Amino acid sequence: MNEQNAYYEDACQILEHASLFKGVDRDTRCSMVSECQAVTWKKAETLNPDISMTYLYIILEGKMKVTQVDPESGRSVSLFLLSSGDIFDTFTLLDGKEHIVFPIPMSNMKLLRIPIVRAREWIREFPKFNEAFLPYLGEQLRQLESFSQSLVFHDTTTRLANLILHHTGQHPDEQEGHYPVRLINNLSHESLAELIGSVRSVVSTQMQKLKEEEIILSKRGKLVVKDLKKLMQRCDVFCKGKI
Amino acid sequence: MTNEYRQEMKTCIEKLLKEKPAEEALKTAVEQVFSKALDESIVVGESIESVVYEVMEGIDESLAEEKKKELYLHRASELILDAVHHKILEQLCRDEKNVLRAKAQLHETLEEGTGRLQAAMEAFRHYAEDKHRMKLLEDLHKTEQKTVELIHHLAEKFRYNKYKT
Repeated sequence: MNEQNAYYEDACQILEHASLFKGVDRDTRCSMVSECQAVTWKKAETLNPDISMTYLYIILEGKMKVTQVDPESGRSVSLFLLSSGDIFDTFTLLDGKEHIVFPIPMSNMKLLRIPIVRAREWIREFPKFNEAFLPYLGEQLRQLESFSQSLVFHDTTTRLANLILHHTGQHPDEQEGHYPVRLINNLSHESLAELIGSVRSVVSTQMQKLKEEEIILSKRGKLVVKDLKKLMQRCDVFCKGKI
Repeated sequence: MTNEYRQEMKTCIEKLLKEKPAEEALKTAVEQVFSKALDESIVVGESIESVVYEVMEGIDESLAEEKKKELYLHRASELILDAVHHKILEQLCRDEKNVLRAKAQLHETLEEGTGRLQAAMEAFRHYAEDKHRMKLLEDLHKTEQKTVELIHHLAEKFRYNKYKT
């Protein structure tokens, strides 16, 4: 992508705030961007499960979920919710092996793509990028650890409370004092269930309970947290009790 | 992307209002924008609540000049419910077809399995007769009884009627 491309400046700017590019100076970052191709994915677009075999994708705008589906039962689990600054797919970037997953764009997305072979060279070629890449990888591993730990140790109520808490912003809305929830605030109960390894009916019941207890509520059709303290207590109490 | 449906609905109605009366524009816009949004929300797992809210906002804003706005908003809610209902019907019909197909398959497998057991039984008879295995021939009634029992077991366990909904 050359400097005249409409995406170029935006991409350089967006990636400045991405943890993956933390500490990478502007010149290096922009030169990395210039090596990439700009691509767009439409919301709900069907993508090939092996899309990550040849390219690494860097998300500039929008969000996507990375899902595994059991062909026998049709049940699915969403392992990652990726948004601006995230990459897809870390697994193939690391080992180059086939990794069949179902990436689903949850909004219109703008991305950069770079041949995976070249992306691996980046890690060796740019020490600052390498420095930032390791903590990013660590964060993803922790996320997976937390997910599997939660599946074993926690009940659905706690898992759901943890999921909401994980995506809740720290600063309340000035007017009404509600805490915004990012990324998962407009998801269906079925989708939330995929993220905590449960089923829709259970999540619907638990969401209703959290609403009745005035911990969460729906604002303009989207999920917000009304009582953060109670939500945190809900996570703490249950976690301590179960581990 | 936040508020994409609100904006899309607004743009769509404003465009349609130049050619059609409000009620008609509303109907067309719900058919076009909301139905698409509904399909997308099912694929990506977006809540119907957020989609409906956004679409209603778009309608509300685009009908700002209309005197009967409240009436049109009510009409929009009916149209949206109809669209959701229609989508559920489509899905149920698909599921029903799958259930019927599975039932027919179950019936077919059961018939086929019964046929195989009977064919095996026949083969024992032919074998005993061809090879003059008189003891085997004498004992065939026991084998026949076992075959009937096995067929009965299959029919009991997987009988077609059991899966009637």
